[in-house]
Amino acid sequence: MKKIFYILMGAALSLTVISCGSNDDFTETIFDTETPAVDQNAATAPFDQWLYDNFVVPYNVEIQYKFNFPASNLDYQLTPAEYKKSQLLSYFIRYLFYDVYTLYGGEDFMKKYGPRIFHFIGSNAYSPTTGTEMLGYASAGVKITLINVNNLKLWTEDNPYTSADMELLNKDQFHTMHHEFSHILHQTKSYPVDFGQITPGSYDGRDWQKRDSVESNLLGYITQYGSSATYEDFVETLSCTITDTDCRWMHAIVNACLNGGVKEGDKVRVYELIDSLEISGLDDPAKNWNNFVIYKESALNEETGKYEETGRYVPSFPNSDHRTDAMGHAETTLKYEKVTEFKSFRSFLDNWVEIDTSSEVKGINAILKKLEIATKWYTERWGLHLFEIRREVRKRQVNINDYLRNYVTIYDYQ
Amino acid sequence: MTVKNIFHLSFLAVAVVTLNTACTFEQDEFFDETASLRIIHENQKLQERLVSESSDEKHGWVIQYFVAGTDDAKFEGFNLFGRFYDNWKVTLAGNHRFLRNGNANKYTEFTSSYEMLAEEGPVLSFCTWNDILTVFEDPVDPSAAPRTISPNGEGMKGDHNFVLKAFDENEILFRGERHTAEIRFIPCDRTWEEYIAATNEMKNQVATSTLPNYYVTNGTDTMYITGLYKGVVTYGDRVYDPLVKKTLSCVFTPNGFRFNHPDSLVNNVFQEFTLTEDQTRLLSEDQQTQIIACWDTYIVDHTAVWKIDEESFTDVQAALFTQISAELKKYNANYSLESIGWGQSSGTNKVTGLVLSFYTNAAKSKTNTAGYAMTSSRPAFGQLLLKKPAVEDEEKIDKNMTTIGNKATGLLSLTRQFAATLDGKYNMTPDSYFLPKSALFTAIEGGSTFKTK
Repeated sequence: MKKIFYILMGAALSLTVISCGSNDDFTETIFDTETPAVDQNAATAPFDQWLYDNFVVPYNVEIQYKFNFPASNLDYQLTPAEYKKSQLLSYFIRYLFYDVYTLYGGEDFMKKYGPRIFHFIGSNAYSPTTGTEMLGYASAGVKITLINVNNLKLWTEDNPYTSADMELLNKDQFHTMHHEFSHILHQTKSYPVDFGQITPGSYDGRDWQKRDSVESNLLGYITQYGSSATYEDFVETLSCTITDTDCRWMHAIVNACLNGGVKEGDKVRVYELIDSLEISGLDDPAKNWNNFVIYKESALNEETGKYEETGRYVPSFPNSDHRTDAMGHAETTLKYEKVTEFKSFRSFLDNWVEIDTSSEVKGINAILKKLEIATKWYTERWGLHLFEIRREVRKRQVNINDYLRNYVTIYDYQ
Repeated sequence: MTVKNIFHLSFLAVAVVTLNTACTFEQDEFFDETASLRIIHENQKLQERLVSESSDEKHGWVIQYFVAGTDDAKFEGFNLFGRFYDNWKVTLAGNHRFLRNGNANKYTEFTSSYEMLAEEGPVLSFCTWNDILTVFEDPVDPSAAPRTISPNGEGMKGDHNFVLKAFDENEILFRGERHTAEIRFIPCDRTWEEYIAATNEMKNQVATSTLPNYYVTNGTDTMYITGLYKGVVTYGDRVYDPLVKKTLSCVFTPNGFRFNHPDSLVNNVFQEFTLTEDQTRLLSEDQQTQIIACWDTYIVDHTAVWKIDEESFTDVQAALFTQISAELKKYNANYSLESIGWGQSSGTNKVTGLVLSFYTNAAKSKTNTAGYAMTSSRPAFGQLLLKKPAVEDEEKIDKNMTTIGNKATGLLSLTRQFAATLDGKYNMTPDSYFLPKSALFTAIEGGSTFKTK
């Protein structure tokens, strides 16, 4: 009986399986398995093919130059990018970013660590409520969104790229790219905790934008945004080293030396930094960092109706079209009294700047310490030399018109 | 058979029935294919439709486009034009006021890319910048654009991703994916520039800033719209300070205009209005709602002088005209009567009523007026009631009438007699129902029929 039971049980199970199987008629797949990687019939096929050959095949990177609405940031009102400007930016990304890291990091470096997606946005990203402008953002180390692509200048032989154009390109795009890529790098291999301990008390994630450049630099941050958090400070230190112009750096150095914080030995290290950054014209009287005025700042005390010194010095660089100094944003309740002027940065640093013997770490001393940690981490963990990357990027930027003339094809819709 | 065996067999029977029942797969199939495939195929159909209307033999699409607008600013609808190609290229055109690079209000074309996205439904995406369309979503201050492009983070709240709502042979309806812009595609029946010219002609005919108010009526109920010439109207229960109102945007068509979305007057739903053949009014799709310019109140309240055509004078009026002219010469030999009308006199102590317009030099190159007050009102739609003061004590005249009358002592009496001939109720027939320049006044109670020139 027991045997009959098991035989019948087996038969029943077989019937069950067969009856279940009879309904498994698969429908057509919902996935597109026929469309080739590049649609040769598309009006954008030549550029799409170039992207495929230059980004997808070598780096497995997708350049999303067509607006990706679901993946965009709905906190901002954003627009698609112009087709031709997207092409230009893609060439720039290849030449000034991928090729540079590939040259120094090796063939596999960007394949392994590079972002997987670039998303181009045409408009700026401007918050109507805070008035702040977002220059770009990264998502989970996978995607970098670049803003304000439509602000790029289209190149022609008659209207070549100037240093001012490159400055704008750095500000709008490449500073952001190196910033976001640096996030990917430190999220892959963490940076030393010591970095965050240099100026631990003055990070301000909420009101960083209320600080002007002088205040940020004197506190020991290379940029205002760097003072928002340690990891932003770290990647700003890296990206500014790679992309900031001589002028931006010299202004930051002056700001950072003006209000104390210069320790014994720092003056020598400042000159070493200037050498490493390959800033030329330290003795050129025409450079605006060799011609500046120093003012003492006072603020109106609304209770007493009198101006009282804020305790900080503020420089003013004539004819500067670079980082706006604090006085440019001065409130009407602030007053500035001229203290002295300089015709030479060396004279300023060697003769005017005093050695700070206090234990407080700020200003140029903090920036130098942060740079030391960042460059060491860059070399030890990634085998890359930060100043070498800067040199290569700058060399390519100088040669940008030759590159555009000889290697870049901007396609019309076909 | 033991109890144990009975148990085993019972268990077996129940198991077979249960398992078979459980595996029976019965699901109602409402569609022939999965949701994803349906969207993909719907996209293919939509693209084919867009492309089929874009061939060389056809004129592409008119795109009636309405941005969502902001809390502070509402915008007119825009007529854009589009030709879609099967290689994902689209050429758009327009002549709107937000075009940049010196192209504001000029016919301009721009080519860009489009995609068909399979999201929760089919989505037509204009995925690269297009000068014609994308300016509507650029986060810049529209009040300064296109002269000054300054970011404000908000823009006009246009959309470049269009979610499909419905389509048939005659139209395709979309909704903006982010800001719910309202978009309608219709096949264009002429060249784009011809369409623009025809809509401009229609707009100029039915919408002016001089006569900006309209009745919206179904014969029983009446509401008002104001500001049609701006393309953004206030729809309310009265023209001035309405208690109930809403804002609607519109685009002009070669035959009339269309609102951004349907609205209603009591139970009569309307969205698009067409100018009637006799060009007196605009009728809704179901012919139940009509929009009529407030031409009657415009005539009654207008401050300009409606000069009476001498050919329509009665014998009495003609005689009075001659006598008044002669009386004016008593004041100054160079004076002569140019016309008699009703409206507002000029000069000091101006009055509204009967107005004598006269030449003040022999060459008849200079004119002046003298006024005698009459009341004018609109007793019913299309009617005018002109009344002279019942008793002489209530008369009002302007300074010119007083000054001239002091010397030309018969002037006031003759003017009073002329006013008496006009005292009555009239039906008005304007020469144009959207901006009258003259009208026929048919006497229906007192007065005498006259027309203005």
